[in-house]
Amino acid sequence: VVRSPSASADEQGKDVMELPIEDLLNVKVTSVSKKAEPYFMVPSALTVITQDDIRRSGATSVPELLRLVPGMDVARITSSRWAISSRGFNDEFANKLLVLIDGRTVYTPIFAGVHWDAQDVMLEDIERIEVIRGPGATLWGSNAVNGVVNIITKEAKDSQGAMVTGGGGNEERAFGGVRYGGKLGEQTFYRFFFKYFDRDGSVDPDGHSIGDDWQMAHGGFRLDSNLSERSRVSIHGDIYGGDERERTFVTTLSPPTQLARDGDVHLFGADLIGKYEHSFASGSRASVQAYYDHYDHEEPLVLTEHADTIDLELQHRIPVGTSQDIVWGLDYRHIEANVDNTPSVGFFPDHRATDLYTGFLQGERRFFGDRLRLIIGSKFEHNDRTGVEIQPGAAFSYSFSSRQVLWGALSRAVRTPAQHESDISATRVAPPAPGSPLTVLEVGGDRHNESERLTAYELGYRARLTESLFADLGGFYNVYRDLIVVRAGTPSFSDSPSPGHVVLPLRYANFMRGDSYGIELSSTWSPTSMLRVSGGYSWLVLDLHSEAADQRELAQGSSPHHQFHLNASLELPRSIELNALVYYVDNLAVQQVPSYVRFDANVFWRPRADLELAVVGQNLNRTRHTEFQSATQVRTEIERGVFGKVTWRFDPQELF
Amino acid sequence: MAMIALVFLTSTGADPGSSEYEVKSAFLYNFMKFVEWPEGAFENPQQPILLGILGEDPFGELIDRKFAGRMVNGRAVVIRRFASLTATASPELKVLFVSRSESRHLDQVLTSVKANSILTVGDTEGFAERGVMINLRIIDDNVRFEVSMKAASQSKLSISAKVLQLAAVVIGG
Repeated sequence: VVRSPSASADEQGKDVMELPIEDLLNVKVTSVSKKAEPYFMVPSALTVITQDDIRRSGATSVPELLRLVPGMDVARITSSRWAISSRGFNDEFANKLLVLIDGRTVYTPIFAGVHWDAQDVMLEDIERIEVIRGPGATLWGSNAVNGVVNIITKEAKDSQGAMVTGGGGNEERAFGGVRYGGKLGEQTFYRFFFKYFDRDGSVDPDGHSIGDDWQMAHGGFRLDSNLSERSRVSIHGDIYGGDERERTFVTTLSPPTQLARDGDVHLFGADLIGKYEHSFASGSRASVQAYYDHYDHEEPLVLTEHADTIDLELQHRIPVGTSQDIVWGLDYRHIEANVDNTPSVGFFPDHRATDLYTGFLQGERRFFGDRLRLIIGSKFEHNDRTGVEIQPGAAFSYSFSSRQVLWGALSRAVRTPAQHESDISATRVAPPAPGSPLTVLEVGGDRHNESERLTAYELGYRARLTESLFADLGGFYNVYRDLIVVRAGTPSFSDSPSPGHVVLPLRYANFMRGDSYGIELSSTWSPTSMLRVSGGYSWLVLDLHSEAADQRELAQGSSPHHQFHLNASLELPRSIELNALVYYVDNLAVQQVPSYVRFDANVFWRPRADLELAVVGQNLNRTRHTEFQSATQVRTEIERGVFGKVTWRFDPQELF
Repeated sequence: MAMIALVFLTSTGADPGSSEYEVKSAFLYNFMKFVEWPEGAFENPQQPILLGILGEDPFGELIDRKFAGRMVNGRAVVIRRFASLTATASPELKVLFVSRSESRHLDQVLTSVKANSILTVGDTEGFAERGVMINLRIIDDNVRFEVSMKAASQSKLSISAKVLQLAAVVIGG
């Protein structure tokens, strides 16, 4: 199962033992089990996206990459906005999914969710993306309720040399990036990068441009140094800026009450992380990490956010004997959040400083020669809004053989109320409905809300059925309590300002509960070294209860019941590679978004070891389609896209 | 967070016959060709090279097949598996592959073999920094390797310039 990109077809059968060492370096290793290897025993619904998966997908952004994860619901709302969740509750700010980039959380405390447009990463420098569907709160803390996305970039020593990449097309109008990695002395490695993209906007259902194109520039660096055999330090940082256009509904009392307006959105952000790790002679390992993160999300038509976060984290892993590990950690986070209020949306107060204190303790014990693993732990948090939150979990994995693993987990997780759920005051005119009077919605926060609570039961099975076939099957049953939705109060009549209208107060409240259950299945099959096929299927049912029927309908109807995907990669002679990806996503009844099939395909060609040419097609089967209907955005459709890309990797010192 | 992930992400033995270890076997073969043991390390010019695999064996029978009938500078290669450290005291041992499963007592392993001129090879993140002479890594689906010159010179082994040139990372001595 070996191929050498530089070798001609008749050489490919050659025994690798005969290859000189310099050629061995160019041999690609592809094995079904390799990817799953370190993750085989993990007692959670984990999917790992590797650098190889990233390249093969043809995706150009982090959100689009997540489509590769079975059970992940990735819906592009407009050109620059995504709704991403797993196991239900999808929305533009899906509030039960925690996202981290190199240990830095990018979940915004203001709106509870992720500004996906701002989460740009140099895709070539990603080591892997670990996606956990289901709760991860025992380790990662609150808001890791329905999933955790952990983006991990390569160490500087694994991204040495220069890389220049660029291209363009109709939707990905122009993009480019440069990266250079080098060495400072024997033990210190660095890289820096800069990238830029210009993406076309989406269209309305009639195919007319909405004008929501966007541009973004992003630079960053990483420095890794081994201070001694036992200790190392890592420092990295980013700075980015972007401009977007949007078309959003502004409401007025006089007809037409819903007015589509075009506005600008400005993004800016910067972060700096330092991490120090030390391995003690006793075998224990400790790390200290500190980061600072700042972002601005300026959206004058809706609301402008500024947030500063400082986070300090300590972790210590202690092996106890040969069959036990104890891990504990402490974390302190300080967040300063400011919003610029507009006449229609305001936060009161418009500035909040919050402190979060966290500790966790986890033990792992292995029995029967490592066949059975038990993990028990808990996170303990104190936040300013809901006080102490305890999130325990217990999990096991049992390997029948090196080929089959059964795992199970019982966990609790909470989602703490976001700032908007306690501080917001927003006024909107309801969309006109036949037979209903003119209605103004007054949305308000409530400081007394409790955290949303989840108890999750999970069971999974992984198997290497044959040398070439790997399967992963998991099921879950989730019980939610105290879900926060808007609860309607008593309507009143007002004739000021005129015309006369009904005022309906809506308050964020713990006013929904319910269950969800489903299965997620994925498989990879690689009958020869030339062909790899992987697929996934997921089924999800939400059974929610609330007297706020519209909120229940919205939550139940915003995530697809069925999702399916199939990816095939074919290696051809002369270093040509074909990839095809098909996705099926069930309809979102409440949003009137029909089910859709999406087909992506791409061709890679490596004429030389250092040069890669690609042609990538996205959404090839249809001119355009809708994936998600956000309440405040006009309906948009995503168009077919094709682009070309060139990537050149070289060592500048060898060039001259 | 990377460290936390380690708690969960403990590896299991690899599939015998997986291509990754086919390529890694070929690397081992090449390293043997490009390493010079100090004078007196072998009793005679025909003495075979004993390759030990310590801990959970990720190669399986594949490595036996791969090395069958192969010679390194006129010496045959004999492969033995060791479950525990004490067995590695054999004076014939010349190359030791330290499996990922030995990560927790790596320091002990390295101390016990340091005095003998044994080429240590691993394929686990951080092993080179901790004193394993050659550490195989997978980067973007290619096998790369890191060399610790420091560890090699402490054991009086000389690694050819060719190998050093091709190393992704060289930790100085």
